[in-house]
Amino acid sequence: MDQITLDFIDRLYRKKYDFLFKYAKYAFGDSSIAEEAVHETFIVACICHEKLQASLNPEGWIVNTHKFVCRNIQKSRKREIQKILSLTNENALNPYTYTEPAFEKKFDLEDFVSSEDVFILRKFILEGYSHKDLAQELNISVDACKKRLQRAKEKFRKNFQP
Amino acid sequence: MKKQNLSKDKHTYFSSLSEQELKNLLMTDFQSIDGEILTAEDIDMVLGIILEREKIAGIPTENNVEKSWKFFVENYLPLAEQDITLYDYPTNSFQPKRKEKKKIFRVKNIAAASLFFCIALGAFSTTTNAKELFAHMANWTKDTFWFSHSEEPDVSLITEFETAFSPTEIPEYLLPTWLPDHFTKTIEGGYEQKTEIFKKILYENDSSPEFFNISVSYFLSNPTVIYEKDAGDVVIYQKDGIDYYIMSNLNTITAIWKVDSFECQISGNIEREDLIKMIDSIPSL
Repeated sequence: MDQITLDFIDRLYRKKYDFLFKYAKYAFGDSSIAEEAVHETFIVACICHEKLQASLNPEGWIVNTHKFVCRNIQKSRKREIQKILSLTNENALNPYTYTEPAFEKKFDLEDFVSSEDVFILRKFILEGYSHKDLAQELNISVDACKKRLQRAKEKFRKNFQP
Repeated sequence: MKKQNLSKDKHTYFSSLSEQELKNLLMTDFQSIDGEILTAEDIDMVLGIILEREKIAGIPTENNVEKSWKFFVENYLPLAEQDITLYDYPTNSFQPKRKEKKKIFRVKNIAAASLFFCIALGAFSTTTNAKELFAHMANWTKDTFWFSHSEEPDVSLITEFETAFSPTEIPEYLLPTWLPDHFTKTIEGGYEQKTEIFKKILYENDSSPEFFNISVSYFLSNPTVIYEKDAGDVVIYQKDGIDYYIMSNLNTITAIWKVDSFECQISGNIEREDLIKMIDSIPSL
């Protein structure tokens, strides 16, 4: 990305960060996920920087994108948690009544994925960790964390047939 | 000029709402299934009001934007440069949709009917204004919430509110019998949920930007209600054994009082004197 574009994104970031963070904090109730949602919005902004810069209202573009990103994160996380919880019952369990000991008794996840992958999946999906928090816990970069998470999910999907 | 007035109308209206109401507005828009309730400009305006209030109230921000930007550049920009996002998206996700102008706003599913007012997306064009929009009748699902603009002749406040709470009767000693001159009812709205029935009426001055809302809640449970205020003291005004809590929040003044399961509020940028006069006009027990 050229410096002019990066400066453009930088200015928009500084101007809108607090706004977007507030919105995401209302949506998720969690500062880590809120921060992640803002960063995901700006990842999208960087990927689509030509559209953003061509927009008549870049701030409006960012706000709309952020709303969409937040909705997508919410749907994505809900889907994943329901997938995991559906293993403990024929019907999907209500996430609010989920209890960890019951989950562990029913299935030994390590039959399907390694213990390291179990750790990553549990932290991210069940405990609601952000990519950043999980990366810090594993002492790796966010990029490496994303890849490890992706691999863990794929292995799980491949090896477990409900 | 018209567009500026329109934004000013919206800003005035949003500024009259509490943080909880503004948050509810944002979240109802966030959760809406049919599409958008608020435009990007509306969302920006609402967030701006919330953040400005926090700044004035001296609430410290939890963000260090400089540090966050540095973290973004080091950790997330490399992903962006490889066209990698943290989450997966449906294809063609990032084409911002053109907002269609809708004269009548329809809602099919409202998950949490905690919002008392919605502004239809796209109806705020350069050829309409907030008041014209509010003149449209919106037929929301009756079990959830509603708003309307009415030009009915003046009726007493009890008559205004009693239909919303029927069959529960509104006590005669609940609401003012006097309202300041030159104010007209412009919008009313409300909602009904398991724990609460709520109705709110907005009155606007015919010739100035003054306004006030009168709202009544009937609680079917015992919720904890939080009211927003600035650093000024809360004054308790007593009348006929009822405590009227008077507080300010930036340029608005609010009075809140409770009678049985009813909780009432008058809030606006009117003179304190007029607010007290309204309270004094409430019939005695």
